[in-house]
Amino acid sequence: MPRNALGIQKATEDCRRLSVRETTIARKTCDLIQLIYVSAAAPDLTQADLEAIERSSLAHNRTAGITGLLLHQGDMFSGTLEGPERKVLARMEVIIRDPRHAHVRVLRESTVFERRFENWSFGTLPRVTDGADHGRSFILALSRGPR
Amino acid sequence: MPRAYVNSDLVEFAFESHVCETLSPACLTRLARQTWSHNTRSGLTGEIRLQNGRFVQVVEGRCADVVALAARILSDTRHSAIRVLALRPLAARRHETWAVVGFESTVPAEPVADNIRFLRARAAARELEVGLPAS
Repeated sequence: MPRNALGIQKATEDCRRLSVRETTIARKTCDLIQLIYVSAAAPDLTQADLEAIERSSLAHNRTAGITGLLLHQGDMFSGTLEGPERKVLARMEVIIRDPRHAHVRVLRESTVFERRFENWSFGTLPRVTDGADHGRSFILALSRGPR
Repeated sequence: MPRAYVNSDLVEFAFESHVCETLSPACLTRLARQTWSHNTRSGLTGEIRLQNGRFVQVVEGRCADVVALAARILSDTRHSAIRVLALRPLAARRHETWAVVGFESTVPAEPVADNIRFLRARAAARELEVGLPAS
């Protein structure tokens, strides 16, 4: 059994290496885009809902070659997606239709030559009393590429 | 000036980034010094580690301070290929100081290195877990 598990682990790692190669190809063909969006989280979201969002996005974005970051803070989501244009736009359509949040607004969409992020991840920030939208500042700052 | 920290406002941000090849050892030493003076002043604790051509950082502090720091360093051309390991609220700090490790003329700080190893392993495990077919 442990042998089997190792086999699966190796196969998974091979897949990951393959997708790194695809990333390199995508970079060369220059169809990479970066998209930044914010949305309002549904008021009745539970911890389990957030975990489900993390799990499904992680699985989907890895196969689609999408990297970036999704942040949840209080009643807001802020996210950045980077990847091949078609994949990112397709994902955005799914996100817009997802009932777990509303009022999706794309803040910026740009063609990039290089990814800013190497992986996709999900983060949470505590709800703060000063009412500042740290999530949005965070995403905008992180997404700014080298100038 | 010491500040009072509300537990629920504490955040941990851990990430790795690629070190630009053109950075000279002198630039790296300057960067290490900058992080030390800035973070000590802003009440941020954690560690920056230079390891195999990557920066590995764990930063903890008040949400607003951590976000401001992230904005500064990550729009900086000295960082690229960012891999976020953790971004989450913390109940209490895990580090007492800001440590600089792996740069010239610095001393290792082992306790934080353990945390980085843990975060890295956890991030890898999470990716593996969802990569496996559901049974």
